Amino acid sequence: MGLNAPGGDITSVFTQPQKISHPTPLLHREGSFGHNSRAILRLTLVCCSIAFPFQSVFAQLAFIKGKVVARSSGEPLAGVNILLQGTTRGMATNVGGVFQFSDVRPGTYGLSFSLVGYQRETRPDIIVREGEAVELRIELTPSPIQGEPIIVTANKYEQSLQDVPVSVSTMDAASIARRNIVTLDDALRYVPGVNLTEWQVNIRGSSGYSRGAGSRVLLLVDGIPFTTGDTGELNFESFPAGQTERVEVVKGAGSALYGSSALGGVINIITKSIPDQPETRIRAYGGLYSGPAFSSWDWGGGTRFLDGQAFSHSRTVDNVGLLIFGSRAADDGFRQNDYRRRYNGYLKAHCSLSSYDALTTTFSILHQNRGSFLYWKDLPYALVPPDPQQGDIVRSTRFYWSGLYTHTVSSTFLYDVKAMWYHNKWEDTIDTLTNSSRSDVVRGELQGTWSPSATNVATFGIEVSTDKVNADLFGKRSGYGIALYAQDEFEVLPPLKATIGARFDFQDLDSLESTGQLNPKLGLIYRPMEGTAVRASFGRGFRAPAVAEAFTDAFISGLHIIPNPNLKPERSWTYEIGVSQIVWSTAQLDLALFRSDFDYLIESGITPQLQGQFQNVTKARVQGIETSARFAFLDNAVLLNLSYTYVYPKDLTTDDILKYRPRHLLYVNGFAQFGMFNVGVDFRFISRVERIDDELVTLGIVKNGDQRVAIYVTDLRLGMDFSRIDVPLAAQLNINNIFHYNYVELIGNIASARNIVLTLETKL
Amino acid sequence: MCPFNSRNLHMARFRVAVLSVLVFALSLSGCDKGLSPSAPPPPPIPMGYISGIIRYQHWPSRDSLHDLRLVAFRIFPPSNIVNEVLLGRAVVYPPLGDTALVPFFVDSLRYLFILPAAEYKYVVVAQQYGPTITTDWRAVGQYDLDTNLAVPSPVTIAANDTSRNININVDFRNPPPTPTAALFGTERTRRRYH
Repeated sequence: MGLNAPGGDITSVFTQPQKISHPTPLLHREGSFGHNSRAILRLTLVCCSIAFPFQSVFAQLAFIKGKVVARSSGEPLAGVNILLQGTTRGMATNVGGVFQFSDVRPGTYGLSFSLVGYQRETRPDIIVREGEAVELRIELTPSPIQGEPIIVTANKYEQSLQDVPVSVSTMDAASIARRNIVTLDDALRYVPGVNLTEWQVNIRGSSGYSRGAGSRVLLLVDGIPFTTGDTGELNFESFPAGQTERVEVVKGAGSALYGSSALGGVINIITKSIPDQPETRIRAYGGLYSGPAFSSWDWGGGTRFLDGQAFSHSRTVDNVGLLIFGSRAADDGFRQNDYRRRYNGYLKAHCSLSSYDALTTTFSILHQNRGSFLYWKDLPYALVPPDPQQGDIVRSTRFYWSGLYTHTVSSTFLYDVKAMWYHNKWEDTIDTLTNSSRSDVVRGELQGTWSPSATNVATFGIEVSTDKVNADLFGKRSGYGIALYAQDEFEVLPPLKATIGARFDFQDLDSLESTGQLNPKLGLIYRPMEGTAVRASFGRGFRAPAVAEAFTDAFISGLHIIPNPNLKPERSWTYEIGVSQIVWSTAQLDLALFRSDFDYLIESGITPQLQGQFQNVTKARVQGIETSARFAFLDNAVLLNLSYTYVYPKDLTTDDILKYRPRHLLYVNGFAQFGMFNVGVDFRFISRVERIDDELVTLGIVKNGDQRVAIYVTDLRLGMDFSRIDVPLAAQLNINNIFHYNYVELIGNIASARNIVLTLETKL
Repeated sequence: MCPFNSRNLHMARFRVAVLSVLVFALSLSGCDKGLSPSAPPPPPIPMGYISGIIRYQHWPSRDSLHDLRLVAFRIFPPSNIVNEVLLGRAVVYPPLGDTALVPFFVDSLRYLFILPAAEYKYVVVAQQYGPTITTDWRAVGQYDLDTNLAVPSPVTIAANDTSRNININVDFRNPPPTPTAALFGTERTRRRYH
């Protein structure tokens, strides 16, 4: 039965609304799956049913189905997010605008419908009687501002953005594609309150720079951690940006749900779903860097190019969808010995086992060769590394596997089983010797979501992880962790909602002292009227040291970095209040005040014996204000976004500002679509970083390393979408850093020069 | 107002907005290029000069000559070269941030360098003999008026003046005594490094 056919069954897969299944459970169908596979799946289901003490009872159930169309044109709307209020179930309409919730227990429900560019629509008091079907026709009204997109990261289940008590920013696939973003860290440069020091993410001043050792931001892919076992860093390059449906950035400590590393925030990459129809996409880009801004910086490298090609194909056969992706990226770099050659592979498979079960698995692999540019020779030779670093290279091979099994036990209860394996291998020739590292991280999680009523959602689960590292720099290390978490979101008094929860983490990392930590949180959301949301939250954050922070034993440019066997986990208390307001359907305003108090913050420092070491700074406080405004006109054909963040990150021990934290962030971007043409401009201002690693400068390790300026970067982009004249082609011209402004994010590292890139993409 | 006019109005607003963003960006960046090859001058503080001749004997092999600097300490005995530099109580010539080094394998070197006006109680030629910049240093020659006592002599630098004849004899085989055990690093554990 076709997905668009009337009466077609569409699975309601919570947290994965894009997953659409077929009416008959796989176990009773002939399909591409072999008998052995089915037997394994059947066994898995049986095991899960035994393991979990809830019973599936679907006797005498009814269903709700319908179609969602645009009010103005009557055209069906695909991808409309639908939440069945009072249950844990959600889904999205198919290409025909059709949806269907099967096996709904008799009762009274509410349905909410949301889609970017349209007003949110709710249908309360839908009465479902035993054995009957409820059929609906929903008309959505276009609206420039869609204030309530659906997000999943804040509370580990789908909910409206205005229903979450913390600050969340999102970036969709279209924005990523229009900027020709190859690695997703570049996408984060446009997110309010976020700035990067090279590839390290700083959300609202929570993080400085630690050369990739450890991260106070947790990176997830579809809700599953995506961090390495040795350095604990975020390897954005390992995930193909083109496979991103959207990126959600939760600001503030998320440890009460996500545990260690979520101290400063959580970034969740939601991957694209596998479309119903076979689809092939080919994308290619090519460009070049402008020459050095000053003749004395010309190191004789000639014109420097960058290019890349990507291919993907997806198809769905019966109830199994498969997507394969491959890409190559080459970048000469505008600095000497700063080239890179990267190959990415990605595979995603989704199988709807029945109306109540779905299995999704992904596999990604990366191989990369790149030169190493740690810092410049000196300012007069800013695009050249010091002589001893000439020819240094880094080779990396990483692969990542994840699996997600979702089982809807009843209309009010479901559970997920998640697993991942991340293998990271790299070697370099930095400082003349060859270093290598191999690490493996394995994680597993069982999460339950129970919604006993329309205003109450409970989430709870258990998570285990283990990692092993074998590296020249860190030695042979191993560790494990176990965590339990639970939270409940409920209506206190309409329209006031509360979220209360806690997570307990136990971490054991090799010879470090084992630690346990209970992280509670409380969130409140008050919605006095449509379009207004007042939020408040506080919670405790926690981060165990990464292997690299605790055990690095190395010489870096003449400085001996020594291990710290007494390193303690970082802890924090985070507070936030905020308000969001939609004005005249054309503007959305948001204001937030935030503060985090850190204990045992881990920063790089110098010992009395003048050795480098990661140490616990006794106390620190980061506080500030963030405001943003979004304006939309002409059915989202014209957009303007502004955001400003002020952060005061203070080391309370030394009464000094924390390193590598700018105080002011100002981002402005505009976009307009004129028929098949579009134009956009991004501007970002980041105030001059006040404090850096002064020791590296004073000791002459990074010569002229104190030279830095405020950052003013403007990007311009022009696009054409030929599909509007029935030609399956899109073209995009990006001019990044159009004013060719020279700046550093990290001492001794001139950031990207002006570059011009042309991108072509076709969909077959 | 008809929809067409409304659309035109919106587009006009947007054009103004885009132009505003560009003008705003341009004005904020001040039309400058940001960093340039020449660093800005340091803030003015009273400075003076020191000059003299360094005479060398018995140069060691090249592999133990990682660096050679002239260092003027404000206190004696200093805690450690690098620590004193970090604390602002020592001046290094050429500065540690400079790519130029004191030349190797010469018989003598006539020097003149600028430093903050102050009294310097210990002026020394220091050799970095190993790869670790924080520890692998030793004194190989010092300024002392009476070489028999092996006690360093202080030098006073007046503002806008030059202290001349601050001559130092360096004998790599017979260096002056180290003020304290911890003055210069003695550790030489060559490990694998990143």
